[in-house]
Amino acid sequence: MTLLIAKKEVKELLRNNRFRLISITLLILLVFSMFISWNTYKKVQKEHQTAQILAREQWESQGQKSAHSAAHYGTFAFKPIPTLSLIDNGLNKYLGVSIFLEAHRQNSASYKQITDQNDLARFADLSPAFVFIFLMPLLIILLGFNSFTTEKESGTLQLILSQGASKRKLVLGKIIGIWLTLLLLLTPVFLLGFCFIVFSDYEKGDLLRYGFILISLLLYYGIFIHLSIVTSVWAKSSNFSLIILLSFWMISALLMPKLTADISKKTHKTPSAISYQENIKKELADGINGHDPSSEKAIAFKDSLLKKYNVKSIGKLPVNFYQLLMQAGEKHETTVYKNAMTQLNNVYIEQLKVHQLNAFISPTILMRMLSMQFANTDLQSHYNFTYQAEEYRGALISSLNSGPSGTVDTDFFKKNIKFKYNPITLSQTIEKNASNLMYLTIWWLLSGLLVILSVQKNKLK
Amino acid sequence: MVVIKWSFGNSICSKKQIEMIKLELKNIVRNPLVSILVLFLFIFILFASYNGKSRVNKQLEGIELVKNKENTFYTNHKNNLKSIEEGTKKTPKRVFEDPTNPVAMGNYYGGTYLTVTPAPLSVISNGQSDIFPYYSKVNIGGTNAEKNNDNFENPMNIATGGFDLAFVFVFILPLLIIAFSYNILSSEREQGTLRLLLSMPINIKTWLLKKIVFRYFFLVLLISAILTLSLAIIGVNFSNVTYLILLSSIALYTLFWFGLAFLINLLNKSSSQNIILLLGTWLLFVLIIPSFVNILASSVYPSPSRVEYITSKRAIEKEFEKKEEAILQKFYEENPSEKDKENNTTNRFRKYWNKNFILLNEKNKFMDAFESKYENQSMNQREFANKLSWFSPAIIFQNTMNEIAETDTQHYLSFQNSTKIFQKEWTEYFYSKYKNHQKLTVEDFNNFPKQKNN
Repeated sequence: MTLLIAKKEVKELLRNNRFRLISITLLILLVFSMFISWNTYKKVQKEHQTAQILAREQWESQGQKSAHSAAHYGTFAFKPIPTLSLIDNGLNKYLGVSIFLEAHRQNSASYKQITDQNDLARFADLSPAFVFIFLMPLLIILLGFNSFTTEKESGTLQLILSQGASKRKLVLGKIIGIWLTLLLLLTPVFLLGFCFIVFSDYEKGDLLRYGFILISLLLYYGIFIHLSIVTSVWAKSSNFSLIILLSFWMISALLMPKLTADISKKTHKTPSAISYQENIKKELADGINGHDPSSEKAIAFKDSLLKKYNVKSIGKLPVNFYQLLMQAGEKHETTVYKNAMTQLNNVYIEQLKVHQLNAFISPTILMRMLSMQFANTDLQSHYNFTYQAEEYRGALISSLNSGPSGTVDTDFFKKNIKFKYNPITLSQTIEKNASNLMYLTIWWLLSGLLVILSVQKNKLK
Repeated sequence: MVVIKWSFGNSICSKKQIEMIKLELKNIVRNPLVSILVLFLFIFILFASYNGKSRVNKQLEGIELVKNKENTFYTNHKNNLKSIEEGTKKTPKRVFEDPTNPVAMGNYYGGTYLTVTPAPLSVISNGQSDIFPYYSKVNIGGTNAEKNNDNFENPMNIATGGFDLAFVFVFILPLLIIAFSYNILSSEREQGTLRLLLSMPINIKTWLLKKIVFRYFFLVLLISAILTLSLAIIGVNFSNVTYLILLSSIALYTLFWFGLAFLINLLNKSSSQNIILLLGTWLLFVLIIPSFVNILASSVYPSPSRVEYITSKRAIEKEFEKKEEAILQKFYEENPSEKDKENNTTNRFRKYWNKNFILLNEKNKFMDAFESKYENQSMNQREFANKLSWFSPAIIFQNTMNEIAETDTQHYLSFQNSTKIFQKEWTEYFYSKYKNHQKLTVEDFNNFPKQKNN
């Protein structure tokens, strides 16, 4: 019986011209956006690989100089582009692509793609994730808004009920019908996405990540299907049902995300760039400066060394004083920068929590965060990159500061450690966003509960 | 707006029509949906104005901070200089701290901050203000217009975009218009009153047009009133011509959507179908066309690869280093007197800066040529996208609001350009002092080059 209803529902939906037009448009958008992001992905990945090799070559062939001058010359760490940016480019456009690694200071990632793009890049980005997360729910609403209201309006509902169909089975049948239609449309697209990932240099876990994105998407669509059915059961006219559902979409996809962005800026204020840098400067001045052996702090450091080795002058020290001083300065600088960056990052994390909180009104916010996190294009994976680049910088600079005291050349530079980036592993991602996944499930369950309630409350007559 | 309304009223309104307007007004005021929508519109506009105001305030605070920093630096050194001239203090040993040394004051810790002062109506649109810096430090060494003074904001929030007035008008206002007008004709049919209407001796198109025109003026006046009130509440000065331009562009944009609603009403479909059609066009103009134009522009003129830029820049800097000797030699051949001076200097500081000043100009030219290759690429893309903006009124309207708010890309780019030009002036000033072995005087401190029109 349920299946019969589902079958009839699918048949009717597929015959509907409006549905055909909209689903074909969405399919075109999806396939088109996948090809575009595949193209971009390939290009960016290639550029990135060449740059990484070139930067190393430049480092190794920088010529004869003292090891510390080499540290000032510096090198670059480039942020690799994750495979799943194919599906969701997340925040990548708004984040720097590379970090300059030099002595004495920690730089933030620079050169955001967005500053080189036209103004429209900020309007809407036609990525697969955009179609999946923002536009697909509209299709679901169109599939479901009149599933009961038309039957009520035309009087066929009474007919069906009088023939002994139970309301529960009717509702279930309609839900299954919408699901089947939706999956009929989405399965090829999901498979296409799968193919794109398989044919790129994907890493272990990427396919599973894609699977997680799809599962969350299905949960997310489930919420919209439930809500469409509930509204259709409760509403007196198709018109009213449509307006209610569209308003929900607007609040969830359009209003809430932007409102949240501004609310989070108010509740947790981001420092201005200038005050951030001034604070760093102030704290740097409070510590030891490796380039200034005549400062009070440096003299104290010298005295402590002399005392430790029980000698009278620097020349008699068994260690190189200037190298140690440089390293002491470096250590202080690193702590200052690290503290500042951690503080800033904490502000960002608090702001993200506000987003998460508002997800109780808007499942779209949740879905967006989830898909970014699984695609490794969120803030946390960027932070992971900057953190590793900083660790590498620390190791490289200290190896230079303790290197030979005369001039060094290519032979020495070739032996310097190389930067190797380890992306966030899947288990780390799951640990980080288990709560988001849970909230999405709660949304799904609650909306499902509404469906059950609407069946029991005798609204179908 | 008021003027237009009255002339409209006087010229074509007969008594009957005045009656009709009264009736319409009654209908609208009594409709609970309308009051809810108006309430929301008011809240949105007020909240968006408030957001704009706090963004502008943050910018003003930042500007004050950098200006204070600059003032403290130069006032301290000026006071030191006074004491030195009076003989109560000695010239500091460290060159960087010497207030009589033009290079020390024009470079290193010295330098001036150029800032972007927010436009009077800057609150209306965030535009690109969250990705381009609004200040730049300029000294002999160069400017940092493009780097190190990034606007800090959570990338998640930047990507989401703010809730500003431009968002309310470009995105939400059309939805409101749709809610206002999707069922003018269809509701009559669905209630069964259409036949009654048709039996009367009126043209149904004119009837519909009148209704739409009425709603249009109602909404435009309402928005103008709410916007003016909100701006007054948060304390924005709107007594200027640009505010009128803003109001008229809002009126034009509203006209477009009402026109569309009129056409779709004429198709004589059901209310639900009208909503779907109208929402479809909304998606098309507001989201799909802009993103297609973006994709097209970035495919025809791809954004430059900054990853490639970074490594190429290193290579090109190395290339310049190789040229340095030749440039110096050429300079000394052309200015033999400088060569003699150079040979006579023993001061390490002067030896370094003699060379540096000769090379600086050449290096700037050399690097500018390299950078412009990348800049042009993005410029072409922007120009192309601007040409295609005519496909969607939403794009044009957004661009107009950005221009009024002076938060469009062009504004920030011309700021970066003007810093480069100013940097030359700044360097020239200190170089001429340095070249002639002049010591800075207290009077000189008041005559340092200053940013114009600020």
